[in-house]
Amino acid sequence: MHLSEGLLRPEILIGGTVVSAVFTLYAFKTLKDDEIPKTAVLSALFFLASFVHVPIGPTSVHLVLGGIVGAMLGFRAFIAIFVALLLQGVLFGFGGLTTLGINLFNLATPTLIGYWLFMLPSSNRWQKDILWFLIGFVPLALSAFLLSLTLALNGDAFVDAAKVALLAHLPVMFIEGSITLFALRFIEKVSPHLLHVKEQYVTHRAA
Amino acid sequence: MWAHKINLFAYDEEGKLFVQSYFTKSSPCKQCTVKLLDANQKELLAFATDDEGKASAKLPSAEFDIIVEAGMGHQTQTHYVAQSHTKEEAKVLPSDTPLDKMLLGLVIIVFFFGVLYWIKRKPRHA
Repeated sequence: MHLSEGLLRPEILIGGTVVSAVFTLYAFKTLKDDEIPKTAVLSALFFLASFVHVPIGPTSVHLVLGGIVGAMLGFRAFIAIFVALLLQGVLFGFGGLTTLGINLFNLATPTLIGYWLFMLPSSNRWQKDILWFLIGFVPLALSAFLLSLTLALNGDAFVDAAKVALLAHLPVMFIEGSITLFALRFIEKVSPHLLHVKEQYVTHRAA
Repeated sequence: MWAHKINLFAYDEEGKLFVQSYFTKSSPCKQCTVKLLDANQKELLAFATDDEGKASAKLPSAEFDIIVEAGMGHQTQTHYVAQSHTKEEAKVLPSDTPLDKMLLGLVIIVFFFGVLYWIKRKPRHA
């Protein structure tokens, strides 16, 4: 998911940077002080998740956990992921500074779907479990699709790589869906108030 | 998702270049394309790694760039000067996720969001 430097066409890099910069600046501007601790914790989670590797075929994939970040932060996920990606690039060489914008776009935008899924009502345990699984599965699937699209737009030479990128992420989508489901269940058990963002949101809208 | 960083190690011995590439120590860069480029970025030689992420080729010149392409937007590039690395050096592969850097990252996150909180905090009325 971390596209390397020196590969992409300038128009893709610039486009990704501009869109991500607008979203991130908006997220910073509207961030409230009481949201900052949770944003920091989820930024750290995202930062660390990339170090959990899963070897698949000739390559290696790693966890992202963007879905759970998006579910709990909504638009603030752009801040958490921006900080994590910046540090991964500077400290470890994952991705890079010139690709920070497009990587942020590919990873953070789909997490908003995680937030939307988190807001959907569920009437029983099964429905809730399915939704929580999808919070992990769908954003990763969309990120893989955006990654493939980025590579395909970069030129014909990257089309095959784009197809492989999409397919290779299938197992990780199920892994992330399962991890997200169990993580949210764990949070529900030990600190249910952390999931009250849903109720707060509904209350706020009703008011 | 995609293994973000490709690690590359190279040394030469008796006119032969040896390359080893990996994502993590347990995950070699299998069948990855290795390209050797001259100062003008013109391709001198191209070959692929084996299932252990290793490859070797005759040294094309005394100085060149090595690129390893893993596909899907991942590659690494380094400048190589012949006889600048020994076999013993290449055997010592560095940790791919140094704990000290991970801790540094976490400290920076705490510091960054701490400063952000200080900037954003609402004024408390007595």
